[in-house]
Amino acid sequence: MGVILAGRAGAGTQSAGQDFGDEMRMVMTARQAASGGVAIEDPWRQGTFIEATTIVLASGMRWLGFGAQAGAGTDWRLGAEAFAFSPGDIAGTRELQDGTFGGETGNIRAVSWGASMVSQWTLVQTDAWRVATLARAIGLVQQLPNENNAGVAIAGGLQAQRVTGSGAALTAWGYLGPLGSGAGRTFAGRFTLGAGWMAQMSAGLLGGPEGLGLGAEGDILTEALVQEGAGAVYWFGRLGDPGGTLFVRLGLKHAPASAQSIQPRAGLGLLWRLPSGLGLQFDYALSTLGELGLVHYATIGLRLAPSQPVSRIIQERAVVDEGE
Amino acid sequence: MPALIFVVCSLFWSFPARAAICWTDGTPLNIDRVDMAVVALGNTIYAIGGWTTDGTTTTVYGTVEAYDPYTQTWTLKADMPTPRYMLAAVAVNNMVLAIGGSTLFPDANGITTVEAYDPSTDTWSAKAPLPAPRTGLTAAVVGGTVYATGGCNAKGSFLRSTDAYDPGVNSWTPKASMKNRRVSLCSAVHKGKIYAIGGNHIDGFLTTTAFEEYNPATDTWLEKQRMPTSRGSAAAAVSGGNIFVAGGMRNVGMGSIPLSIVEVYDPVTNAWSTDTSLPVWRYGHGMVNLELKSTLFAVGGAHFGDSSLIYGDTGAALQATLAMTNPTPATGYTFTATLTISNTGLGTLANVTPMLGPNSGTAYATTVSGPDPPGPFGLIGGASQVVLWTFSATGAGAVRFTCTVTGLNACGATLVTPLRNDMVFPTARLDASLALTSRTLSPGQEVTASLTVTNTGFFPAYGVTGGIQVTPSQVVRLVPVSSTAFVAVLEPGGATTFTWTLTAVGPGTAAVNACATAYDGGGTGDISGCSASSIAVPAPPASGIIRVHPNPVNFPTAVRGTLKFEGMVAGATVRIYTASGLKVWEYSAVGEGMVEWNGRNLSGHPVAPGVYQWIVAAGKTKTRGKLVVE
Repeated sequence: MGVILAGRAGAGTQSAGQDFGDEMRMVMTARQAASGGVAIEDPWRQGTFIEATTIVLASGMRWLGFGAQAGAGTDWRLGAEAFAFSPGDIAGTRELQDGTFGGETGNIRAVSWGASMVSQWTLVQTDAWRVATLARAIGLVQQLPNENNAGVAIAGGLQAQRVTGSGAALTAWGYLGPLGSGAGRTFAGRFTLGAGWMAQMSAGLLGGPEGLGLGAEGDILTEALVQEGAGAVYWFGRLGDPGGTLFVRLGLKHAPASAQSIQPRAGLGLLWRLPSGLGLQFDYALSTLGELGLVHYATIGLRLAPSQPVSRIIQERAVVDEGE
Repeated sequence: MPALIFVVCSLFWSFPARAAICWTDGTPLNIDRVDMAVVALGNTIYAIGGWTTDGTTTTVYGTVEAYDPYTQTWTLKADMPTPRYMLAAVAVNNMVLAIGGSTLFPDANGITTVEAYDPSTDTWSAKAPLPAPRTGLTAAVVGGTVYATGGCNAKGSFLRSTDAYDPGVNSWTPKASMKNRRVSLCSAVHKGKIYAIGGNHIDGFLTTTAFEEYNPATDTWLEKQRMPTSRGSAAAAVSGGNIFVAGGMRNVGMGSIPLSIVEVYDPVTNAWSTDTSLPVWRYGHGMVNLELKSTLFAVGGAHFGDSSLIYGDTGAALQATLAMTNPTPATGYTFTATLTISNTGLGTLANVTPMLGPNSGTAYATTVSGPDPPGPFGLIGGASQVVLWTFSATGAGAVRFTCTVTGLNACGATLVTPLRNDMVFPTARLDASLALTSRTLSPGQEVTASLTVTNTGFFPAYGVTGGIQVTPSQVVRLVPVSSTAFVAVLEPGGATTFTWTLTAVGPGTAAVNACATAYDGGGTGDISGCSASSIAVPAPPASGIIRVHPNPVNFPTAVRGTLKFEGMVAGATVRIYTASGLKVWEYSAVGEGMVEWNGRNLSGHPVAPGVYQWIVAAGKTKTRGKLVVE
């Protein structure tokens, strides 16, 4: 996914299981998943690109999402996403009138799917600062064997970025939502605060152009549930240069209400960019969910126009560095 | 309501003497009409078309009404597509055929239209038209062929001609003509011959006494003994081998007078006689005989003058029902007979007398009181009277109560309504009902079986004992401890309960039969009452197999409102997660068997619909699956 608010298609939570959009809560890119759920690289992405993400659980549950984004420089971005959830085989059973087991009925079908529209508009932009709004509208549909549910929600927030040096920038974000309503249930409120720092270095651990990103994020959920994540990404290569860039990501997520309260994350990514600016990126992440098993994330993206995976400011600084 | 049915009641035909007719009033038509067609099909009378006037406006009807002699009611049916009057109607092939007539008033134009009514579908359909227009005709059916005779054509000429209609091929063919031209005649059929009766001739002003017999077998008309009274617009019907002609109009000079006189033709002697006149004159009416009731029905028509068709008097009708309460032994064997007498007509019934008997089996019941009121009493139209008797059952056996209600109508005729009611008074009788505290058991579980026995007879039951049989014993067996083993006397209305304890042994279904036996205090010997049920012992799931049901689960409709985890071992823990891994519920089983989840999360809120993952952890063994909440 990874357009703007990737990872927040899940409609929040009142308490565990209270939100019928829970099936969408895991939708996020492999980049974000590997970084402890923190979108270190994504908040200020530019250019035109399309992406596809799949997530597979040990139980056979699968998510599949597509996203696309286009924009005009740093002034605005618009994107759209579509995602679907399939739980895999579920054995149906019936019960007798006395409440005893009445036999199996074969597999039952239960799918969810949704779509969202996202936008980012720059409010303030100077050489050192940039502030933008984020907005997102989400629609979810749940198709169960004997009933269908649907709901819509909106989310919004602000992002601010401060150039902290040559090729480095500090980004902070805050989102509220999704807020909305669904069939028989209310979309629960959720407030997210996060911050990240990314820097392109001319000489890193291996002596060449490398980069480092760090980020942390906290979600305050309804009923005072809190979950936090922290992550880091290190890349080998210069972002924006033709050729390959290797990303190594590590993260940790603290989610007390889930199957595993402390969830270590890890992932790798490879970006191959042509001189024309066309780029292909593949990212993979691995997460654990305690007794529910491992979770695999894979994202493949195609960048159709010159763009940078980090902020325009970083890009501009990098170009300056190259020029120098 | 002007148009009436006159019912000839109490007719007991005995040749050569014939009892005099007693005309009584019947149920009026819903719509006043004259010059309509009246025909009987089966046990239903149909009144079709006709006209009426309020003195200013004249209406020609396509209205159809059907009379049910059982309920004595007229019901509106589908209108005839072509409203008309002075038509003829016959019943053939389970249909009513409406033939010819006039659509314009007062210029009685003749039309050729023939339409058929199907009572089974309440619909009309067009049939082959008459070869030439006819109005004021008459029609009759012999051997499945319809014969239309006489009337007036479109030029105003009176007709002698006859046309025959074959319903099988839907076509008309000409037949021999009558000797006398006439319109507004009537007809009757007797022993395969058609009799054309009276009518008007010479410009419609002069009525005729002409009486001709048509033999369809030879296609010939033969003049018979003329009717004593010349008349047109009369009605005729056959009853008891005689042809009755009632009412009509007779010309006197240049005027006409309506008639009430009834004349009867005897085909055997070729002679006419008179009978009781209609209560009032009428013309343009119809008359049919329903063998069902051995009665003639004179329907509708006009009771002069020209603009006034109002004639309102309806007859008395006697109806009664007899209901008996079931004697209950506990109340001292008494029971009540309730006779409800109703006068469903508008006329008055006099001398209404309820009479009980003769009854059979009176050794088993005696009259305590009644009838109350004893009668005789009067009953105005629409009124009802309840008459009560009280009885006491004195023994066991069958009793037949008969009841007769009589009353006199305004005609002086006696109306009789016989009624009957059969009852059986049992001796001692054991009604048994088996109840189980549970019908599904796990091995080792116990259940209580209760057999409640009630003596619903009229004599005591002696030495009442209860017994139970459970098969197969590999599934459920009887714990060798019983409760009440013997009841010395069970009085009528009394009850007792036997109980047993059963225990489940192994999987399967066991039949449970419990019976009570006793000696009948009425002396018929041993009696018994039994009741049966069954107990299911489901096989436990194989070791390590967890059965989760129902899936999908809709908690409001699930049994006990829960999702069940069967096959739990002691200490095993159920954990339920959302698709994204948030923990929803957790519970550790205390013992073996079933754990039930009520669909609420750890905070006590109902979970949202969607897909969930469940894990049952027993030691190091984990069983997992997915479920859907709706």
